[in-house]
Amino acid sequence: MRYCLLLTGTASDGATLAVLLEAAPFLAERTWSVMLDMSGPGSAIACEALDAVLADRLMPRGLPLATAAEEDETLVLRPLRGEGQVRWSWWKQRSAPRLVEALRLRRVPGEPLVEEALFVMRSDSEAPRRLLERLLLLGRSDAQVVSFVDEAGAGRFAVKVKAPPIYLMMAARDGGDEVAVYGRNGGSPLWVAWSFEHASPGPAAASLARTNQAALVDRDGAWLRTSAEWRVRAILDAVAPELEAPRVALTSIASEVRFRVPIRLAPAAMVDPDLWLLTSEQLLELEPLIEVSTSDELSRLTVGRLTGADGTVYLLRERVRPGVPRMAGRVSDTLGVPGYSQVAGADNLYVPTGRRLMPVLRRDDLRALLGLERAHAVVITEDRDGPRVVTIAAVDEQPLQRWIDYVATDRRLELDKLLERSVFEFPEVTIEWPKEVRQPAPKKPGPREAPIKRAPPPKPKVVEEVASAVDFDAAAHLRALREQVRTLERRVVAGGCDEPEVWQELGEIKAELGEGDEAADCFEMALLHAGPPYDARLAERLMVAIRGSDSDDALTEWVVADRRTPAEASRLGASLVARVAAQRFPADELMQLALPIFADPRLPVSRRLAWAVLAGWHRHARDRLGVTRAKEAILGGINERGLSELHDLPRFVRHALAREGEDASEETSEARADRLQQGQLIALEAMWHEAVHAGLPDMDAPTAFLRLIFAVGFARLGARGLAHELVAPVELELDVHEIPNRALFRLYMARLAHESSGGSAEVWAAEVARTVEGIREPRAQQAVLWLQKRSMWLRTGPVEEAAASRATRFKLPPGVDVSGLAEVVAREVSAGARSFDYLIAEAVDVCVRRALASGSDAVVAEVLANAEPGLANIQILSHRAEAVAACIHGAASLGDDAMLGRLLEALVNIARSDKLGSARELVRATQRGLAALRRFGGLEPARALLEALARVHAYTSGDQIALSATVATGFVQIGEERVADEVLDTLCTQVLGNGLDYVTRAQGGLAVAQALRHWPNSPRVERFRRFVAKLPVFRDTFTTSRYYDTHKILILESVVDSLADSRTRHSDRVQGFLDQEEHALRRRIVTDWSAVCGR
Amino acid sequence: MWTLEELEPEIDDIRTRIQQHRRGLKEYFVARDEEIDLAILCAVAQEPLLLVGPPGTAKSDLVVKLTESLGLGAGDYFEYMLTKFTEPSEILGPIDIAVLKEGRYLRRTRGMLPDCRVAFLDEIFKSNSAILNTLLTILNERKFYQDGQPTPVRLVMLFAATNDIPDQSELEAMADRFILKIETKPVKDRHFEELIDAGVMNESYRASGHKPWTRGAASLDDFLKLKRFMDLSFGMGREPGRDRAQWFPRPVFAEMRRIVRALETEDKVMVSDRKLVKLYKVIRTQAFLNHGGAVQTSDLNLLAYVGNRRDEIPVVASKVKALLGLGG
Repeated sequence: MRYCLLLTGTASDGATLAVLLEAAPFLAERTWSVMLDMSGPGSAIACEALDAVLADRLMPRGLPLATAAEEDETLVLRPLRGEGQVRWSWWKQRSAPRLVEALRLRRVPGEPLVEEALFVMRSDSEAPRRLLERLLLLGRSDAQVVSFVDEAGAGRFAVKVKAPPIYLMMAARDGGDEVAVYGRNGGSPLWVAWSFEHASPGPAAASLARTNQAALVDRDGAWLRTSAEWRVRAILDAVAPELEAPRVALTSIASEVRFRVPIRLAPAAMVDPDLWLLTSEQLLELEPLIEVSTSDELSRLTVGRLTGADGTVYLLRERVRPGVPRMAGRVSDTLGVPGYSQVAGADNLYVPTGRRLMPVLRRDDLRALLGLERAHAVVITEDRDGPRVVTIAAVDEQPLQRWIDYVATDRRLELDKLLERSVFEFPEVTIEWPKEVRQPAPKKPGPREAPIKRAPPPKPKVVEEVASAVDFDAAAHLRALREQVRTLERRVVAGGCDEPEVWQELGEIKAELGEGDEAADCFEMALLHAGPPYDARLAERLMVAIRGSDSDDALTEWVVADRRTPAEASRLGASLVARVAAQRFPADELMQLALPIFADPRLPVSRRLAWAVLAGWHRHARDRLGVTRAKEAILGGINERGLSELHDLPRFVRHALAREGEDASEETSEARADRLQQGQLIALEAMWHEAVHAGLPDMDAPTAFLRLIFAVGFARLGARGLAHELVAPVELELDVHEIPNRALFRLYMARLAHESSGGSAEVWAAEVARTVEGIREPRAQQAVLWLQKRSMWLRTGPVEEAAASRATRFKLPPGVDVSGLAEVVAREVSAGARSFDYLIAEAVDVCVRRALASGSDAVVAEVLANAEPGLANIQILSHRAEAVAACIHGAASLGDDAMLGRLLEALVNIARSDKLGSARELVRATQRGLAALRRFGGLEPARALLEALARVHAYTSGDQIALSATVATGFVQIGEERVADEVLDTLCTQVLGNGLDYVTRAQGGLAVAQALRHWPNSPRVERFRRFVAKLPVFRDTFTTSRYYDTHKILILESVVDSLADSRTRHSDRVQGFLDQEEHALRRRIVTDWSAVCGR
Repeated sequence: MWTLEELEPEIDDIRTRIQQHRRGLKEYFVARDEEIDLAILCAVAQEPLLLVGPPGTAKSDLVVKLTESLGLGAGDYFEYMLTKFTEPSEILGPIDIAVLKEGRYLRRTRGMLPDCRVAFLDEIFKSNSAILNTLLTILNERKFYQDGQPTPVRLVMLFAATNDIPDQSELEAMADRFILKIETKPVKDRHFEELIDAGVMNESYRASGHKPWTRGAASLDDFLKLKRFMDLSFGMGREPGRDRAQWFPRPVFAEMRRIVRALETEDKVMVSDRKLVKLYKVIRTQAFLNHGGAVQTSDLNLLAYVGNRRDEIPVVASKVKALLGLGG
């Protein structure tokens, strides 16, 4: 019989042990005998020192002491306190060297989480391989392995895993004894069987630490001691991966295999084309563009004539100039031919615009493949059979302008006859075709090849035709008709004439005169203003004038075509209108295809024809939704793009406008243009002579600048001989000037040559760079750059302001459609938006523009209603002005007079404010507001705004000048020339007076020169003479003044440039007509729409 | 209601028919076997199924074809796309005005959710709380309240679809009601040609009004009978653990426990007590449906669909597949 302590295997054992050690601490290091109940968690521990005496001493402390005796393999435990005895029939005994090792582990409910687990198994079993495989499958390559050998020499393999996978621990626990899993927390040396806990972990760990050992404690509490330091390896070191698969080795060898890769054309971003290859018929299609283009624009187009296997081909090329808008888009639109653009990295290789070569080749390969080095240009064309390589060996290109002769005659029938006998006289060059398509060389064509019909563009060889050859009565009749035409044209050229009878009469006469295209314009106008349902006879007249077709086949062909030339689109439109008007309705299916074509704002026809097609059909179909969408499409397009000078301006209007004010004379517009140019030349000559009479020392640098600037002006007006006369002395005496001036003179001379040859922007930039780099001394180089960057003729690249105005930094949130614009603008202008002012202003602008482009008045009204209240939240006034201008644009389109009044007042208040930092944005905003008011027929509000601004005294002189120049220009544009003169004269007096500093005076001078471009020639010249006479007042104090006078040069440049400019004034008049027309067209669209929708 | 004795003789035939039905349905889809297996199982077990995936991944098409294949009678099927503006009357039926004049608040449920046998609710998590609460009661207790009185619903199968499971605590209760959730993914990357071919065929069927999938091998009754049989067999013996001891082998059960525990502790997937019990029954039903006997380890693949949140679903699916691949 032994005395023993009973342990229950529960949490209460902790208290028992604490009391025991407190009463008899020496028992901790004694050897214990442990008896385990194998059918329960209980255990009994006995020790030799725990005898009857000690038991008696411990009893009062309440310890569960008992006597243990073995009876027939059953352990009988009799508690000393007298409770009934306990019998363990299945029990086990072991010994423990100290108390902590005698304690049985307690089961923890569930599956506890441990920081680290140790899986221990026999190293000679399958278990290690299986465990490692599973760990690696779970991605646990961070596990470590340890090998142990016990006293008997048996190997143990252990795997240590931090944050162990609970699945594997449970599998080990559930899988019997094959794998034992231990856990520990906090780096303790005591590893306890997982799911169990030690009754006294602190003392146990401490005892191990004292001996620098670790221990694995199994479920029964038996300790397996090891050294604390384990030789761990990475799990991957314990794995010998194997792959049972056949092996094949490959060796690299030299190879000459080459693959045939066909080069093809693939889609690419659309860019402006650089050249076009045209048949003679296509070249004639340029006629409308030539008629509406200025000589300056035409001088940028060159033509070369080529012959080859495909017959005669014309090479049309645009010479790009710096800072000048491209013509490519207009040319392509007119021709209906997309053209070819240069391939990046290859100077003379061209592919269809919107296409690129695939795959991308090295430049050397490309050269070798296409023979680029031997050719002047190589153009890769494309048709249904694929690409073709057209090699142009050499070409003699001449400016297109050289091949145009404007004929001054009123006798159109005779003119037509003359033109029919016209021939091209382009110099001839040869064209080399690819070998596989090479044809025998054609016979050299005769000099009168390629006859053309009614063609002004190529140089006509005029055959003298005496007037007497024409029937006298017919001539008188023609004159009478011409007179009638002029009378009627006077009624319509102001724009906005909405009397269909006038237009129809004009059309009939023009048709009688054989001017079919102009007659078609008039019939379109008559139809538009008569409104649907359209008069069948009038529609028929339009169709005939425009050479349309009544047949279903033709309609179908035009509708399903991939592309339509402007002429084809007009024919389709006129034919549809005629069919609908005549109640011979096209098939629904055809109209379903045709309607979207005419709703597209990019279709190259007049907006009035597009609306006639849509309105006629929808009225017939009584389709309210359709007509509403059509209205929004057309108005949206107009709001976004305005009317097109090319398509919406009747051709005769341009000539009539040019003739306006010269009614008494029989002079044609071309002749008048020539006369205008002569007038400008005479004025420039007069100014030059005045300057010379004032005395010009020959060696003086300012004189040289004066000569050069006038020379450029003369060259622009066509007096190249005079220009060279002026330049020659400067050229001769170049070396006597300072280095910076020498370089600048060279640049002006280069500019002169550039103007004459029509060189590209890149060439000019290269010229400038070469000249500047040629100056070695940095200070001299700086002096050259100072003027070069400020001079309107010498600078390279676009004007900074224009470039800046194009970049919009505000982006609409993705997914926002027109219905969400009002919400966006409300959020942006709200007081708590916490956005920059410039972004808010841009947000208003973008939302208004998008709303206008939708064509829906409701959307515009909603956006404005949300934007207007928040405008005052834009603190920086210049940005607020921009936002106000955007709103004026929108309000003008709605005709909301109340809102317009408020917005205009806001703009005026901004101008008055002393917080306005810079007038630049205000000027821009005013110009935009005025343009919008003119477009939408708001002349009265425009006048009111100008009058209010004229009374404003801006905070700085510079701002005042900029504002006054804008106001003066505005008055001219709305036809108030008398008031404009007054404002401008006041401004001139101010600029030329004594009250301004040098910089402000120069800015004022430039602003005046810019504004005067909008004036008629005569008052313009008068004022410029004042400027030239008072040129000395434009002084400066820049460091470069030791070389040249910056302000004088800039003013003189601006004066000469402005004097030689005839486009701006004419554009104003054309724009005036278009503004009136747009206003009338809007009214008509709304009227027609209301008629269908009953509103 | 059928008794066990009535069902036992024909239960194997029913199982066979449902399996044929499942195979037949798969012919009209590309790489949607997993979704179809789950939909059929949920239809048998009468557990709601949530299909989670981007638009255009055949969620609606799958449910519509499945319901059409069951040959439901008029008014047995209810389908609705929920929005935040959907009102309870659109789902449960409008208030009966005549009865309201008498002071009673009753809905006219004919043709609405409470009256149908099978329902499909699209964009379920976009509905408002009034509808969600009603749906909770319907899913839990198969009843809804009319004038304060619980009224049983006929609904036996509910399918729902969503593009996303919003991470909002108020929606957790509803999400938890869906024991199984499956993510429907686009299959075009791996089945480009088959998808085009099947899509063209489907368009052709639609254009001609031809619906070959409606000739399903099994009927709604077959599904109901199998469910009834399972319910009765769960209750046989009337002693705890009997069903598990008979149909769920201990190693497989231990494997299930390990996987559930691993998901909870390592991936923080919440498996509620209710869900665990339902999972057991669904796994049992799948085992019976597929091989007519005890549960096998492969049947535990259903644990792959217990993820709750959108981001959880793929993680849980791959985790369960990985653990099952370890071989117990």
